[in-house]
Amino acid sequence: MFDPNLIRNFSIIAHIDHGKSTLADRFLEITGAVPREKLVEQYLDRMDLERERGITIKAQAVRIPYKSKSGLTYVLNLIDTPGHVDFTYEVSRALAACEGALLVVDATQGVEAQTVANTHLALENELYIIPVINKVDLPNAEPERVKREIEESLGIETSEALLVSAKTGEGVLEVLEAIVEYIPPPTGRADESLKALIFDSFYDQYKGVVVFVRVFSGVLEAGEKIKMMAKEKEFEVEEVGFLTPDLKPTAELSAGEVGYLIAGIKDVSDTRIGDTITSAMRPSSKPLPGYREPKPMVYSGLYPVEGGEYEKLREALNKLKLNDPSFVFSPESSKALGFGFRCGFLGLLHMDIVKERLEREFGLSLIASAPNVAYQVVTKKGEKYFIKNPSEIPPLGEVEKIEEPYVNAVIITPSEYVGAVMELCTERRGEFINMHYLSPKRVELHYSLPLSEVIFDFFDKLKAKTKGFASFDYELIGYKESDLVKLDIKIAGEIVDALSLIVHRDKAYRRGKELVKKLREIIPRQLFEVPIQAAIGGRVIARETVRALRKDVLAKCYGGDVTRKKKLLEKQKEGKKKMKSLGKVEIPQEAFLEILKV
Amino acid sequence: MKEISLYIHIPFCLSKCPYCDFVSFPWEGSKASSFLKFLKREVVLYSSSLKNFKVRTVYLGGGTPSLLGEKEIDSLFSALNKYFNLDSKAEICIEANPESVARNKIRAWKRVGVNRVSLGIQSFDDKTLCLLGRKHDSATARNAFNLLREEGFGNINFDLIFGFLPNENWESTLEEAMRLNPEHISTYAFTLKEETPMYRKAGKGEIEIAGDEVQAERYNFTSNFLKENGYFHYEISNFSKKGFQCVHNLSYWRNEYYLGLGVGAHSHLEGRRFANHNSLERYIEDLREGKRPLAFEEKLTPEEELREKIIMGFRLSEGLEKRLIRSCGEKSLIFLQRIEKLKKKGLIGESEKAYFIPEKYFFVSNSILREIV
Repeated sequence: MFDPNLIRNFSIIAHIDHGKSTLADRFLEITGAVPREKLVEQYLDRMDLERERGITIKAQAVRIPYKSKSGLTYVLNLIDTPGHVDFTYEVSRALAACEGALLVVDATQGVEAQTVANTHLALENELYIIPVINKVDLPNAEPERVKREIEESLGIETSEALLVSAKTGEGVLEVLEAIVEYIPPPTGRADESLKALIFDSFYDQYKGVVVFVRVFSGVLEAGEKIKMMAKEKEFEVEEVGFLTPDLKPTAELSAGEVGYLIAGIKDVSDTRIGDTITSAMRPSSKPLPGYREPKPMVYSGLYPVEGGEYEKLREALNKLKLNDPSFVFSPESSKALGFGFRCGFLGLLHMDIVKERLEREFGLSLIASAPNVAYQVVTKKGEKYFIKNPSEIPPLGEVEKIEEPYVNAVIITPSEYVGAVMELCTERRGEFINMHYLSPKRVELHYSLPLSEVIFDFFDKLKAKTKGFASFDYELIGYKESDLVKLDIKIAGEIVDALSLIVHRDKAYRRGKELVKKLREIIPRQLFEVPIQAAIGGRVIARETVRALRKDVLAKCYGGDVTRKKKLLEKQKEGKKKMKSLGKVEIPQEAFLEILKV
Repeated sequence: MKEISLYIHIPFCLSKCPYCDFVSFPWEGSKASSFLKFLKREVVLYSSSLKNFKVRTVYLGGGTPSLLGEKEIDSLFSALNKYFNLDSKAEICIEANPESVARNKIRAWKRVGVNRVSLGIQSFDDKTLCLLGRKHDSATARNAFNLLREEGFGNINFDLIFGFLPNENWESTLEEAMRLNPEHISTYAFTLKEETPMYRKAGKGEIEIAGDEVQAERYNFTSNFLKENGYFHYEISNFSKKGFQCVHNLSYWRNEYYLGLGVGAHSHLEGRRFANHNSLERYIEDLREGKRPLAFEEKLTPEEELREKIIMGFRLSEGLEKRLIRSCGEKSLIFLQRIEKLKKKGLIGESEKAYFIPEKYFFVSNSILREIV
């Protein structure tokens, strides 16, 4: 058993591109935890997708042995958290596995919204926070300004803040020393009953599910019967070990340690992040705090482009779910899109990732319908529904109220853009909470916003309005009643279910107008006139007409040149194969995808 | 005896009209006589293949066949008569541009048996003619017509273009045509062809071409107007007095056999489709070596034949005979099913013997054809 006093469990909090991965790479290099020849950039981000996107999707952990200046050898467990608002819950659980955190801020930028949100998570978990100002080697570094921002925004004392350059290695050793000196060692005892926190897991086709844990008390060893407290499932431990970050078996993991376990688990969803593992024989009476069921925030229909690939898609979803229990799916069918699945995701990035993995790892070609949040509908009879697809909303007359999810958002922006940001938030039905100046030039704003307004291009708009300088983060706060209506789109008199959406009444008119106008532009002329309508209930609020095709003829068939005419028709026919039929109207496939993106 | 139609392409014009993408070169005496020399060799080359055929129609198209002199006409027809079996009642038609119509030429045409003249009038509006780059004005067109009538031609066609300019006095062109009262009118919607000077001009915004809506309006107007004046709308772009349908063109639309001679000419003969080189040089080169001057030749499967019958046959108001559609065994079923589906939508009509595209859908007929073939 390793002396818990020589263990330090910590995480790194940083905004994207502020240098978290570089700093982690530098730790591994300096301590020799990973041989130099094996080091690649973003070493801890092991999925191709993570490296391509430059973000961390899954939590990771690595055990770093470090011989400090005092001569003692410590074990530093770095737990790398996901870097996106979609995975806030996962971040909070990874933080819960630590006693301290490095708060890394770019000296040329300053505090960003994500830094604020994650620091609050760390403070909630009572972590010791060490401020680290990175990129001090750059000529435009302003460490003093950044320090003031940290104090102003986060209330964290910065007199001991470390100035480093992860790129050049300057000051990195001091960071390692500070971790040892300031972050408290774990406090749990090995002779108490077992309590271990699951902070991630993944499915390996040979080993089954590999679970990442932090042991808070007791000892975890092979042969032991364990119990997942929230899932109420029991397993027998086959192997425990450390993460180097490769899996390295060991005899036991005792209180304070971070590592993995393998226990013949076949289904990742049995190992919910945040759940507490205890001994089946000598169970702990109380689980660790903070567990909750993963809850999808965003829903979208996924449909195979080729109808024949439906079964293949089902198989792919089943396989992917083994690795990612946070997304859910159930079969649905659409008149416009055929057979597919309604899928729930943690957020838009998560949705993108799942779709991309399905396409990349399973060779599928997919159409995703416009994403929507989940609504709660209360009918006049008092029945409550959880609506995952706008087409499921009961008829308007039966609806008592519709509630939608709201978030608390934090936005940090240069002060010259405050007006533009406030305008955007108001336009998105935001309610102002407060604002304060981090420095004369940077402002932190807090708004309460409907989630549905946030997930659709809010961030892009924010970036556009602030020349890319604003940062943004949010957390879900619950459901609130809104004046929402279901907007239907009718093409040639028929409702196209895949285009139905739920919008705020004040915006329905404009949204309806935009949609029918766009549709009029993309629907090619047919032999008959095609009315396109936007309607709420039975009431039409916007209408456009695709006028009938007037000319499609080869006027002159010259000198018996049939070949030319035949080729022309064949070429046009090729184009028609890529059409999607909506009732008797035909729409080019790409155009249909375009509309779903609106 | 089997019957065949004969097309002869004369690939020369005084100058090329800026909207035209047909095979045509500026007239040069030496080039023309060289071409005619090899054209006659081509006639000889096909004489044995056509031994068992009676030539039912001869059509001199172009280009501008009316540029040919009397001697050239005489010598061409003496070759045709020598090597092919021309039917004594054959329809023999020549395309003529008004500016090159003269009494001596007309008489030469009569002498060799020409009994139909197709006049490239295009418009009776002088401004329109000028912008189209035509070499004649409306007065020249009237004179040419009167001259033909004086010399006894009783089967004359006007080629007219509508939908060129958004505002082109189309009604007065039609009214003027009615005053002259030809037996046949072919009227084509103006089409911008890529790689023509007009296409580039329109691309640069130097000229505005009538849009689809205007063309469609004008097309409907024309159809009604000509029907009121005693013409039958028997093909998408063709109108005739009773008994004056163009027999030669009908052979294309009914997908019968025809042999095309001259540069760029197309043929359909005994299950094969072939076409001559578009280049005058390559045409001459091959014939000099005693070879057929072909750019391509393909053998058609029965299914292909049927598809072509459908593509062409549905251009006619009479449509396509059911027995012809059924002639392809199992393959016919697919086409028949599609036709039935379109019939239910009202896009195809049915008579006792045939299926047809109703006249109101002529101008969008490609949309319907695509559903069948």
